[in-house]
Amino acid sequence: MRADSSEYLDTDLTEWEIGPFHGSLPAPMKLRLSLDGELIVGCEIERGYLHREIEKTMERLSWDAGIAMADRVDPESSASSELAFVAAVEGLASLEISDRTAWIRTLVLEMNRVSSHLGFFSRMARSAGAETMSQYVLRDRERLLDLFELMTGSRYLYRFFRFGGLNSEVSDGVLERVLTFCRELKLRIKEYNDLFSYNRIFLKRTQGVGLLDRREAMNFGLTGPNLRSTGAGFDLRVDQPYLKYQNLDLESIVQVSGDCHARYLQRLYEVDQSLNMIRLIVDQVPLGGASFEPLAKVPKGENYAMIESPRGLVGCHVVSSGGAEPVRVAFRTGSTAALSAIPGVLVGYRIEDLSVILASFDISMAEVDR
Amino acid sequence: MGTATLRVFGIEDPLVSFSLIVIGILFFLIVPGTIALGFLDRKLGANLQARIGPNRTGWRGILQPFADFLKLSQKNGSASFGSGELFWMGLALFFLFSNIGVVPFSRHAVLFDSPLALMLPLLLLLCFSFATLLLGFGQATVNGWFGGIRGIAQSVVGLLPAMTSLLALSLQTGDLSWANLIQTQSDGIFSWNAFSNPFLGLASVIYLCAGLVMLGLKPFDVSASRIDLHGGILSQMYGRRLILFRLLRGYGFLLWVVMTVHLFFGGWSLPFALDGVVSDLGSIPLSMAVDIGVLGAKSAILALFVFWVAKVNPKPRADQVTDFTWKYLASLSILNLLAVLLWKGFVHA
Amino acid sequence: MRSSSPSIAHSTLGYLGSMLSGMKTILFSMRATLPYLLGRGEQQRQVTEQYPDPVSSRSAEDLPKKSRGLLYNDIDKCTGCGECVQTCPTQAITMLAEPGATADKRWVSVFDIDYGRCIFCGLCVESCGPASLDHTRKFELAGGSRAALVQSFGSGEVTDGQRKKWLKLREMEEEDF
Repeated sequence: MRADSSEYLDTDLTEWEIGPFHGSLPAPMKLRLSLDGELIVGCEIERGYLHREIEKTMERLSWDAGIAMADRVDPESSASSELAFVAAVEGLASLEISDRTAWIRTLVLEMNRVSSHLGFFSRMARSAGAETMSQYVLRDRERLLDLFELMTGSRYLYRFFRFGGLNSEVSDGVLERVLTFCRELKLRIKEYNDLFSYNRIFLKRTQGVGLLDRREAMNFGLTGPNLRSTGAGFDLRVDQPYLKYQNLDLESIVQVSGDCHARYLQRLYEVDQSLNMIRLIVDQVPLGGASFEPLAKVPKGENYAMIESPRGLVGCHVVSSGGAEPVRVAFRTGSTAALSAIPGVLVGYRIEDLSVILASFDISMAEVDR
Repeated sequence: MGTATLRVFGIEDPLVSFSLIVIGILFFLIVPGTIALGFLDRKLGANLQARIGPNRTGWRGILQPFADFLKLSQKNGSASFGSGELFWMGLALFFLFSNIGVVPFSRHAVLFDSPLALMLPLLLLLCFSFATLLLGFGQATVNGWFGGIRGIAQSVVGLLPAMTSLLALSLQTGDLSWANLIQTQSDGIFSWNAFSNPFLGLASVIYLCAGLVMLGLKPFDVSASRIDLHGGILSQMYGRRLILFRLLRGYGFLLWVVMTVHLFFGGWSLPFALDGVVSDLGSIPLSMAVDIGVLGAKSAILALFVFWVAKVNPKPRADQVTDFTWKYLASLSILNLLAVLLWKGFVHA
Repeated sequence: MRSSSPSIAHSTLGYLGSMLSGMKTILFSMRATLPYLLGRGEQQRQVTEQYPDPVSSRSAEDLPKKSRGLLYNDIDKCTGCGECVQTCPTQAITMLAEPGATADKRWVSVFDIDYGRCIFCGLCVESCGPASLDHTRKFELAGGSRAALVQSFGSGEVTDGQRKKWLKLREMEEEDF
């Protein structure tokens, strides 16, 4: 509940600096808060603690090696940033992908979405003080990470998408295990709902807290679940489908209240949606090849590809001058807009709401700083 | 119970046996009790979270609290004690340890009794909880200050429900002395106050929750929370000071649970009116041991419920805690008092 | 805070409703976690792996075959082409090679992989022509110093005398041709 004017004490403001590392912060960042009593009246965020010069490094690496770097834009949702880069280059080099490649790519993207959202639930639960729920979710995510290791060789940074194909074949055994996992996770989600999602204490901490207006959200350029939880139903998979999303009968999920609970529920429903999609995909994956050719040179030009990642829209702008390395690779990520919206959202709430609000926006500083 | 109880173990001098009892309680009940609670907390938390918990130190990890103690005691930074912290320590030690004399652990060790004896632990713990303010202010950080303020707000708010539940109890037992309380509850499970009268059952729940609010214990421990208030009253506490803090808080919790068991769940009386058997046991140490065992078992079960609910649910905000206490605990406890009055008046007339 | 005052009945119902929903929440949460306290069901099994206990935790052999663990270079197959050095995004591989005893075989005197830089992307393994470089599934390489993080596969330095011998051998081979 945003404080109305009678609750402000109008005292001297206290300055309080938190960060860059703290248990209540979702990622390394520095927050400078101005507090009036216990209400936050101003906030400045300092970023840059996770800057790793990814975009610059990609300029000196070959195209193939660039995929390994593109992974690392956001390690938790690496499939999306990988795909953004790969799709942009494929567009530039006019490479076609086989049907099976497209289906498997969709599968990996949706599995990645589930993995990232499970991490979100864990952080959200922890920020509200429910350690038990946090541990349950992490336990389930471990099984998903094991599946990724089986499929791609690595738990987080897959380097699985290649120009024109995939890094390796995916066997039927793996697909079956994916299906089993989906079935079990659906049961677990029931358990989470019983325990946490509609828990009265959690509702009191998140309903009405961190309100974001739809217009404000669009003005800040928010995308992804953060935007859809305020009522604006823009989902790239539905509005401008890529890969095989048009075959999957998708609808945009939208919450209208725009508070922290809406953001939580939005991602909960999206996990459910992704699990349904994974089942459909595994049923429809055609047999075939998914091989790729190593790409030495990419024709001159530039291209931009957008992907709906778990945190928003990820876009990759690729500029090539016909050589063996890119001239420029620039990423546009979803968390950056969320970070810029946060100071406005925080005003009027109490200090104790800080960790809940920050966790609910699902910000990855790795994405913001690159 | 007077001087007879002081002739324990064949020692005639009352001062010596009093001191022995106090020291005995301190070392054989309080410290092990707090440590056992800490261990229960960790193992229970691990069990709930599908983990194993400490299992390498000692048999099944039972020495883990000792290992923690050793680890913390060899860590201390260069910062010296602030005056706030020193005051807090002094006050906390005084108020907590003066409870040793006034809370009996066995029928042969009721060291102090008077018509208002049951109020004493409550008031001493109230003063202990007020001392949190000094601790918070002594942290010299913004969040420490906030933690202290919240701590004291909770203490002030938690007093009323606890007091009114105690008054409701006094209507059942006649007055607030240990003798009457023990007398009323020695007839088997339905003579225990919580089960004898539905309103007193409600009073027992209110008393327990009010205590948790007052002392700032889980699940109402926002003032010390690392996540919400970035440490709050604990923001500068580490190393040896943290041990003291944990021990004192643990003892406060133990004391409150023991008080709840004494007041509402029969204290050391066994469920099947076997009390006479225990009284007739020949040796005093044996019956003391049985008493302590029964008390300990009941406290452990109650503590288990508190830990369970605390670990599984999210933490409410400080202002939500105080809202909850005023809206529900305080108002219900006052209505409850009236209801007990009416029950006694009409049902037992 | 409310604009209009609700009727007493309404507030009482609201009050009772909140109390009930609070109690329901506590009971539901206890019910959801009760199986964990009591049960030995499959869903409630303890998931802690007590590394390095071999029974309860996974070792390198339990990981999937594709797992990208530490690297291993079979130096006898290695031709010293240097593709891996070029491809590595973080310049983690250092290699020194020189002509060996025969014309088609180079002697790789130094082949160091610095795990302080390696990101386990697997590009070097892909680019290896003779397939001498491969991922193992091992994941344990904690060390006490940065030097301990470097794994060496090279065959070692050769003396000048050895080099002269090899030069002679290579020239003899050419004459035979």
